[in-house]
Amino acid sequence: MPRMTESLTDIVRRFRRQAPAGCDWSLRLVDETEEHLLVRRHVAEPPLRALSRGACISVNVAGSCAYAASADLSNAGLLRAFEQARQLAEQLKPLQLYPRTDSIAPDGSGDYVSPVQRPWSSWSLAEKYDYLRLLNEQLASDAAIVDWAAGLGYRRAEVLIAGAEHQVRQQFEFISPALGAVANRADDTQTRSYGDDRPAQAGLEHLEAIGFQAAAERTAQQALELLRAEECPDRQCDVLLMPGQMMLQIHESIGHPLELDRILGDERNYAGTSFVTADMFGQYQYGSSLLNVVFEPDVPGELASYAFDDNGSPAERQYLIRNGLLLRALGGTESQQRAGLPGVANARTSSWNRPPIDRMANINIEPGDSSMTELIAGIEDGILMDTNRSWSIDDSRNKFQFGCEYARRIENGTLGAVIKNPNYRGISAQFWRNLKAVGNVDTWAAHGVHTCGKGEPNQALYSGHAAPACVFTDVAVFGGD
Amino acid sequence: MRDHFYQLIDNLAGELDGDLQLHATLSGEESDFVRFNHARVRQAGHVSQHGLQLALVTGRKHASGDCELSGTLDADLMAARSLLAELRDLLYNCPDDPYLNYNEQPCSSEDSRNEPLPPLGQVIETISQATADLDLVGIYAAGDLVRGYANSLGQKNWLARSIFNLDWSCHTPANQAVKSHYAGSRWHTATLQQHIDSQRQALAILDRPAKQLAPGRYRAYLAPSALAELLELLSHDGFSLRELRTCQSSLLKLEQGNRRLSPAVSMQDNRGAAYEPLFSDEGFMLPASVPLIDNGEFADALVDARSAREYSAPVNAATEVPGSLEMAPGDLADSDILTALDTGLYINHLWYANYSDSNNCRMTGMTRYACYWVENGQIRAPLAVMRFDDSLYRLLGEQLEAITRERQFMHSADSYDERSLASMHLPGILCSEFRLTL
Repeated sequence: MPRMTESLTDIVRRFRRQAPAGCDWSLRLVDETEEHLLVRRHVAEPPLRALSRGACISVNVAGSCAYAASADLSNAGLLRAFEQARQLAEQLKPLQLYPRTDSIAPDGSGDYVSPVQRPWSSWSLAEKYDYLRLLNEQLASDAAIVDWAAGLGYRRAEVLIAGAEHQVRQQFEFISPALGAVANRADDTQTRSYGDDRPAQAGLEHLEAIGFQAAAERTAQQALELLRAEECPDRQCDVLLMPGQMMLQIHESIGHPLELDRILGDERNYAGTSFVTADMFGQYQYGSSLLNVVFEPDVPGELASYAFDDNGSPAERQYLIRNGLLLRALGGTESQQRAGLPGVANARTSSWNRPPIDRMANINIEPGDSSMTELIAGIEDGILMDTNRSWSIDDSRNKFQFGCEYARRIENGTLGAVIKNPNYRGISAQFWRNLKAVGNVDTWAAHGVHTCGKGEPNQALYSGHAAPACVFTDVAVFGGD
Repeated sequence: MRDHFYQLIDNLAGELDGDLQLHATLSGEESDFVRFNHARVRQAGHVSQHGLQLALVTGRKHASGDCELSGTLDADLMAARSLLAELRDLLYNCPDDPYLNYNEQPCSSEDSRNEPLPPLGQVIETISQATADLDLVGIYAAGDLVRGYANSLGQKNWLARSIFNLDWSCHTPANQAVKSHYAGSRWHTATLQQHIDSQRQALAILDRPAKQLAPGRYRAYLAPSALAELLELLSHDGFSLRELRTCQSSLLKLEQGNRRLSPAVSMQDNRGAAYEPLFSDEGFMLPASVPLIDNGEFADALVDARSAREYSAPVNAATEVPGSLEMAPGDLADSDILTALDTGLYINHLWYANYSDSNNCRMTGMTRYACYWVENGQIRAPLAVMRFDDSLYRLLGEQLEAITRERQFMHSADSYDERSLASMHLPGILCSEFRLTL
């Protein structure tokens, strides 16, 4: 009987001894621990701890593949899952979309560990609650703040992907801080948040790195400022998007359109297709010559950094768009074979209970050479927007509308009044060509998305997006009713 | 799995010290997933998962945690004991919670509706044969779903369903598409065939050149599946007591009486007629239905166990998001929709809705799947995708002309973490104006 403490490596050893010989298989084991703490309106909510441990076994029967996932990691449980996958692959073989021509097992071995300086366990539960209570005090700065909360999330995931010969082992640790203040006057409610879009692979040192504690008072003050602010005007003008909104802009209108499984049509019934087609790579001008986009799995601490994807393929930094020219798709080895296009190692899963599919990971924009002062000075009529609060885009990732929590006017090169309910809309295929200025490394920051949804069955997954502040011309902006 | 779950909790309850209470929930499935592209199998698999959540309570303190069950009692007892040990450590180090709220008046229940589902291979073969000449994309998900609750006071609740859920779309070379959804407990190949026949008729229209509209205001019919996209967004915050009391509900103005919807609009969370359990994770028994909007006016908010304590209201929901939203029918017959629309938009699906201005319940999103341009009561052409941006106060208020008599029951195909038991039962709506912006 396996014990909960049995190492994943030992489980692999056990399975290898009993796996039927002569089969092409891969075993992906995931062991996760999560802890979530929240103090809302000065009241500590109960701590939540989640433990999850399971296996996904994939079997390739002469080019026909299937998987079976189970939390039963006993010898009998693993063999049962193997047999379920094998039978399914056999049964559906005549109906498969295409035959796999390569092995589904990892063809190399290696390790990865998240960089952590101050472990989650280095603060006691009481210390964490004290910290969150302190943030609550700072958030509740005015009677018009009607709701406020501060929370910390922690997740540790050990992932081991093995075949008959090789295995890769990755140990991730994530921290997810979040705080927010809700201000209300009459029937106007405004929200300002901080940290929720800045999760990282890191320890508690991340809180200091992003100025989490110092942000609480500012966050509440900005929520109050929004109550006094004018509506965002309805017009065409420049927009200066801060990294917190660039995250969403990259995610929706570069990351998703470049996912190869969308281009191959797999997602047409759910997450959608793409305006990008296979023939565009190498010749399509995606954005202005200032646009340089990289798949960057090797940024220390960024949310979706890794050394291998969930098929066990080694991950390397690659340009997706260089000087505005579209170069490479986001597709793992399986999609690369189907499409006949180069891709990246981005076949990923949300956990042990889902199969790998093409997912964006760290999709970053390289910094340019303009300081924040220069970016603002170059705008005659524009709006600075920060922190995403609303997102919507069509199923081919072209027509979008995004909204932000916070904005400021820019007139004649000078930052002006706060404005509320800022929204803008555009078309991906045109928007990036209107990229007018790219901030330097001082304006650059890494952000991340916790719950990018895609796939059938559905999977919510992490992605990272680091970017400088950027200026776009001739954008339709508007406010609330 | 029911007996296994009850036995597990009985064992754990017998090991509790002093005044500790244990509250446990189980959420599990044995599911087959077969994904299609180009009417062939893209990815297939089986998922067996049963998540146990334990909440340990003493006085005003509680801590909760999850772990996975394997189905073997010894292994699961070991896993649960290990989790409980961690919860005990947390429990004695966490502060009192003034909003702690668990049911302490045991009330057990059993609602098992298991019917044999057809063999997977047979269903996949049927789908593939019936659509071999179509560009079909989608997923077939099927199997047993269970939800359970048990506590150390002796309460036991169980819900079991055997459900299949086929969610698919068929596409033209120009990527116009028509979507269908077939879910239930009894598979009828004839029903699938009706769906496919209907799709073939739609595809003939979708092959016509698409009509590109200019932004502006158009008369529009929103089919039940289009209305569902708007009401799903509304459901995230609209009916929640916590969101209302903290002024974050998009229906705040309705609740405060500052806005009204058409008197023809009534909604309820009608769990008794759908799939979701009538017990909460804290062991409270829930009413079979909760009126949410009555004749255009806000009725009751949804109140979970925590809000009940915080805002001194009775528990009426497991979560403050309706899982079985039902809207009352009107009197427009389906056969009269095109005539009543006359000239405008026939919208079968909307997609990716989000708020433009939640204070005014203003939403944006996209048209998707089989949306048509209609002239003089005749479908003329498919629409090129368009963005809308309009307020639900207007669409279900001054712009609402009619509600259909026939309604559609839609079981959610969502499967984030696990397959959903949520559903909606909705009519279609005819609006005098629908604002397109891009």
